[in-house]
Amino acid sequence: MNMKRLYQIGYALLLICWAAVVFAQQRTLSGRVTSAEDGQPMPGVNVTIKGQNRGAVTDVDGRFVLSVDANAKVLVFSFVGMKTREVDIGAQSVFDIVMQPDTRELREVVVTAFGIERSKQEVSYAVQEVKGEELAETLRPNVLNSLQGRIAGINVGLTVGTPGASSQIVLRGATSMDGNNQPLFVVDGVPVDNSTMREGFIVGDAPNRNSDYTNRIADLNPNDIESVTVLKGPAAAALYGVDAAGGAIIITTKKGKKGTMKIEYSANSQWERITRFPKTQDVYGFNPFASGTLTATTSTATAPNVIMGFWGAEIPPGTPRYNNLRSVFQWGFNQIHNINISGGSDLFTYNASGSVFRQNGSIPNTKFDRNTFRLSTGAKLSEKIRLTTSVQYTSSFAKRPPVTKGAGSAYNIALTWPNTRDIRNTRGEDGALTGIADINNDGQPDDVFDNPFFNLERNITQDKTNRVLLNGSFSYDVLDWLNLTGRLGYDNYYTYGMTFYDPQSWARYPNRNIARLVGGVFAEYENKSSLLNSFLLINAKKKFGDFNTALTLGNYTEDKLYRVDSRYGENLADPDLLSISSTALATREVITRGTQRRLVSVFGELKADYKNMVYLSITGRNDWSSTMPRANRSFFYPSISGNAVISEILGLESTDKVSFAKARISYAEVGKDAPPHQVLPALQEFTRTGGGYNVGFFGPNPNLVPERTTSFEAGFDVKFLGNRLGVDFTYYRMTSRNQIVQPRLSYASGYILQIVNSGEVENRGVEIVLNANPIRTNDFDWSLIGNFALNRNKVLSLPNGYSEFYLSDTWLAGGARAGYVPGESILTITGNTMRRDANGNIIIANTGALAGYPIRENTYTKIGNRQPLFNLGLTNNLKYKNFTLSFLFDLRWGGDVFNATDWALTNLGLSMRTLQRGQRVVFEGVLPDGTPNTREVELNRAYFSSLGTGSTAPGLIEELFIEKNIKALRLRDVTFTYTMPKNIFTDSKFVKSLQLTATGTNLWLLTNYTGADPDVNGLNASARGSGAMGFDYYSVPAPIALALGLRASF
Amino acid sequence: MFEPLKPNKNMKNKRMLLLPLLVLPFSSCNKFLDVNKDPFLPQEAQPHLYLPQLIYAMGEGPMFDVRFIGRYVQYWQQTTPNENYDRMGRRPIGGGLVGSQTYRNHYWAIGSNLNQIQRIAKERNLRSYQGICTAIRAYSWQISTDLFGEMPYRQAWDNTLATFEYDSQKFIYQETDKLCDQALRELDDRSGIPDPNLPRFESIYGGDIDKWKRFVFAIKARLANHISNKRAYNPQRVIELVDQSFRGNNDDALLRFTTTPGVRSDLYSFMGPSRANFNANRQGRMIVNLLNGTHFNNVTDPRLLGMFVPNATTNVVHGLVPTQGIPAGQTANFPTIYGKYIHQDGAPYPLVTYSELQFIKAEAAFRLGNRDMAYAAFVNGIRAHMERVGIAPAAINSYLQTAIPQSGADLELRHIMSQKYIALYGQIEIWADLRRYNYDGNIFMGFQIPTNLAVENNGKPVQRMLPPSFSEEDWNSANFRANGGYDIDYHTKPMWFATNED
Repeated sequence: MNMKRLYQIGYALLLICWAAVVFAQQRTLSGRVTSAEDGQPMPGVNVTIKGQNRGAVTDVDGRFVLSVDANAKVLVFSFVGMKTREVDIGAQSVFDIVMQPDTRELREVVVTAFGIERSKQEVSYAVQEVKGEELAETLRPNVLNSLQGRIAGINVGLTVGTPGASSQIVLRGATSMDGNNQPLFVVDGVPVDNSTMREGFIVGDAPNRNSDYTNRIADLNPNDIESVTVLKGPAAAALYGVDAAGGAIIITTKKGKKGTMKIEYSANSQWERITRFPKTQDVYGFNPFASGTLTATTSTATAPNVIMGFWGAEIPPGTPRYNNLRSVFQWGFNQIHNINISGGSDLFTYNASGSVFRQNGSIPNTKFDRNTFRLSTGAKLSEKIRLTTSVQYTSSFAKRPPVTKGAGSAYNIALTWPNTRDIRNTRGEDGALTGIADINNDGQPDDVFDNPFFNLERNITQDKTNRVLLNGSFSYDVLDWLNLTGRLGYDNYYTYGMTFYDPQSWARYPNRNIARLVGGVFAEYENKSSLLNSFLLINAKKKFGDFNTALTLGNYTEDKLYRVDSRYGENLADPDLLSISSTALATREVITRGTQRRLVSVFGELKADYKNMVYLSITGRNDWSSTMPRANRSFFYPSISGNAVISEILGLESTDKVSFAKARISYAEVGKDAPPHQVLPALQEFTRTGGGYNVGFFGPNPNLVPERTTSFEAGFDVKFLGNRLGVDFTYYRMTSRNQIVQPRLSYASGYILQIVNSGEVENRGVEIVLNANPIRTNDFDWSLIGNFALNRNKVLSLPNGYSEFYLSDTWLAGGARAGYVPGESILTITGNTMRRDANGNIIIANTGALAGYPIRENTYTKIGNRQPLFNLGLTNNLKYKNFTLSFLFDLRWGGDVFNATDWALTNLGLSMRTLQRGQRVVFEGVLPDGTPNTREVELNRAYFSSLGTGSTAPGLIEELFIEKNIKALRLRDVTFTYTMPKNIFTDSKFVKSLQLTATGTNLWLLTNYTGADPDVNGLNASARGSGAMGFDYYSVPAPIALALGLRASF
Repeated sequence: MFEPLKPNKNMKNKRMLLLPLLVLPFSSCNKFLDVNKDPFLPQEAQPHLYLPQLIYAMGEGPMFDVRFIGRYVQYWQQTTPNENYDRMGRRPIGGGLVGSQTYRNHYWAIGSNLNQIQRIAKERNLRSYQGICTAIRAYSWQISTDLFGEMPYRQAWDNTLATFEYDSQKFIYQETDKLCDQALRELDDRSGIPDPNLPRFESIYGGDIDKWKRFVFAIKARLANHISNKRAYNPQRVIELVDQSFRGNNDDALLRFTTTPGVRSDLYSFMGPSRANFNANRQGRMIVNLLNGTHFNNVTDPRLLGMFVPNATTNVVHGLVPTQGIPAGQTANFPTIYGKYIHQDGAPYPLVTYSELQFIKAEAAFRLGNRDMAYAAFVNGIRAHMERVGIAPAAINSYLQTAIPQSGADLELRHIMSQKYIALYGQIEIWADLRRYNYDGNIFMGFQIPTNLAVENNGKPVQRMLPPSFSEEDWNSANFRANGGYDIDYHTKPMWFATNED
């Protein structure tokens, strides 16, 4: 084709266009659209001519201009969330249109499975959304922690209050006794990893008690989040499959919007401090149970809990006291800077963000630093094809106390350090490091421990993670009723972690040696995780008369690879060279562990509604999981749900007292596969002389089938008084059968544990969400959101007909653990009790050294239930002119806590309850022959403490340390914001808006719990089953924090 | 309604037919999903690769459990007074694995690995493994039932079961003896393919089949000897079995450890200083008195300083009195137990020794009335053990000429059993003898049952270890209860082998 020819064609086309314009143009209409709610102009309103394929969109000031021909009779104004208005054109050429909000709450669009936006009206199950801004304002580095109280039925537990700590999250109630109960995390439509490092994969095989690792969703920058939607039940998650059996948390990140480039910058400075500690007695002095002294020749502690003793004489008046806790727990400081640039055109949008977060924890030398960078783009390749891509890079760094919590942690040692001694003195009179040594006088250094300052300064435990999240999708509108969407996600991270124990340190590496005895310890691990997944979705929509139907068919494929390489060595040639090459060759150990899982799924959803009034949805999903035996790897599960918009059916108007009403019901099943590589477990390496392999703990089970959860859910959603008051009520019941559990069993089986299908757990509950807007004037607005959740949980049956099945990792201290008992809650605590007769009378010993005292029953029966009666979160948002104040109260009502800290402190003689020492009492109860006890006994050291006595003290019976019915009212977040008046910036070419904020976190707690904080967790978030929430064993509570910040846009 | 699979005249809709094909990649699905093998560890290995752990486990159970049994039999006591095991107390209810590693190893670390080796070796026709494996299985049953009494035998290793019934010790003894016979037959079958890896990885006898046969006879001799209180006891048969077993110290079954200094501590012996398991223990008064001349003709046994660490200044070895702990001011008399004999990092741990077998023979011959045979075996036993401790030949001869009776006529059972007690120092096997003789201080010279027995004993001496609570109390409770396992004095329930019951 030559140039001339091209020119001719172009000219011809141009002529045609002109002609069309000339012939069609009759006149020009213009106008302005405002909102009835606030009178403000409404940009982005669609203005179309009824019956024609022409229209315009209002600009920033709500204005539009539109040319119409003679055939144009009616203008249609439409906007999501507002009632569509049709206006006769007549002779009018200027229109002033006021749009009314739509009571059918079309405005409330929620993101559901596969990132599909649905109006809330359509959804037949409980779904709740929080705006990212609200979460970011709380300034919690781990976005998970800001969800507590904001979503009904969510239970987020920070496992420890040190930087970079993991958080455990459970929706509604735990369903799996032995599996992972955490929900699936989905970012922009693709699942991402939220795992927490498991110590079983590194040299030493520690039980996740003393160290903590970040759960990886903390790699997200809270400021990047547009919204978080929580799909609570299996109904909501039926389409996400096996990993969503515990619900799904759908995170949508900020996207660019059409318009000029917008730059936002925010910065916050935060001060934090751990302030809540248990009270200890200050009357009786330090006197170790054997002959040790505090200024011994050695230091550092592997187990202060068996060494310190406070059974000495009364401390003489005038003895100086030191606040050792205050010395160890100082002010922490953190800063976050965040920048966000977004904008775009019709064809291309972009959003780029970067953030820098630096946290210095309140324990010296602890840190959590995070840098994130995120870029997401959207492109419209044609009218039919859209493309989105995003890339996120995060680098996180955590420096933790060598022992984060539990026995031997800085918290433990500071709490038990005699307050007549200054813990800051890391050297005693003889110049040696201060500690407790050789208390049992055996010439062996197995009962010494580091001063925490030495420990924090000289020993290093840190990890660094680099993570890349890639996400791409294309969407193709094949036909006006048919869309094809493909999505690809790639989540890859690399963690390098290391532990260094100084050659002088008495710290013991888990299941290995004390550093001082072996010339120092160096250990490191590399954790590589990659998750590749793809979606292919076919969406079809068709209208048949008054019926709208939609069909989605899809495929999901996942490949997840997880690998941990770890190395360990002792006797460092150069303690300044933190490298495995510095360790003595003969002491080195290397292991590699990992898992791979693949999943292929097909699913479909058929939806139909009648006039947007009655909705019905049916789904089916078939999963093929690599973790199941070949014959059982395919499993299908369906769901059915429906809802009726009663207000629409009855024709209620927004002005009516009842402005909206909807009822919904759903039934769903979901399957859950086994952990990888358990059907025929691998051998384990034999690391002693000769090498080779041997069978591992787990017996094989070639007949394993998927675990199955069925759920029923019903609810209603009613709004009153023009939507100023709304109540959303949900009832649910979930039953999980064929649980995949890994019970221990008699060694006669040939193995220690066996993976089996057995056991059944039921969860029932009620969730109520209340929205109210009591005051709404031009200057003042008050709205509040209440979230109420009540869950009742019951273990219906246990594996192998056991009468108790327990999580051995939760057996942290003493004779109490997370145990499952048929007929009781999954959050039951089982433990040792006082012996009782058939009538429940406490039996008092009649003979022996402990005559007159209650008798310990060494069996494990229910002694507590960690399940709260209910939880209530209440968010208030107050707005007066340019000031806003929002605060969240969180109430926990009921549920028991095992105060193992007090248990340990009692043994040491530090607990407040040991102030009763010396009192003489007659224990109420009966002697073994049934006659009432009359023997008077002294509450002496042998009653309170087992240290050095070789017996178990009756005053340490674990039942006595279950604190019942714990209530806690907490002011979780307070955010105060002042927005500078807009008119200041009208002339500014640069700054467009400026906001100042002050934030307080965990400022106030009112509780009947006698320990530091009832919301602690004895393990880290990699724990399975019901986990160790409600086990308080030297677990550092969450700090209080105060912050100042500013937010500006340019 | 939308029906994607129905052919349609519309061309655009025909394209739809292809989409389900993209969605359902069935053809390659199974292969794609076959990734349930651990990527970094094998699910099955060649038989020789199981041997190092297997052999370690043969000694690990006894070494772990002798920490407690050693206090029962008074080889060593606790440094602090009134200690539970010094007082022949039981492990507490819910006490976990205390004193029961042998039980766990028997079914798991030994049993399950034997099952795999034997299956794999059979598949590969590597027959030389079968006899060795059966021999180890018989050994494991013998040491386990001697500690724990009744155990699941018939239902053992059936991991489709959730609970396991107990079998009587009599039955286990009979079956174990049959296993020994089976092992002998299998050891004689040399028809399979030889595996060159076997001698390299089998660290007890380097794959020497003849020595394994002697090992089997040693187990048979133990079984036959343990029933000395029964009508079925046949001393002549015991002597025959001993004669077919070990011929000298070179036949001893030993668990060996590296002698290279400075390696990872878990490569060293459990009994040694690097593993630090005996920090709170010191040698007992009885073993010291047996060696320092109190009971043997006022002659100091060269083994006293060969086995124990003296006060550094006085060079005197002191023994702890059970339940008393280290007396005030006597710390210097009780340096740690480490440094000599088996309490060294690289010292081998004896499983079954020639010395022990000679004492078995001496006892049987003595009971048979053959004093000369008994005396010869008695001297053999002492000499063999002294050689193992590393005593110089001259010192051995001197001792043999001065300390002990000089002829069969003067030999008494107390000499045999007390010398056996010395020779089996640090092993669990002597406990069987003490129980057979009801802890008789006239037979085991100087033995005294503690006067302050633990409360739970109800005045009776200890007779058995409790199986792990993690296994039997927690997960096999009905069967454990039926066997009396929940009785507070279950640990004093007599063992079948030690009684006169048939």
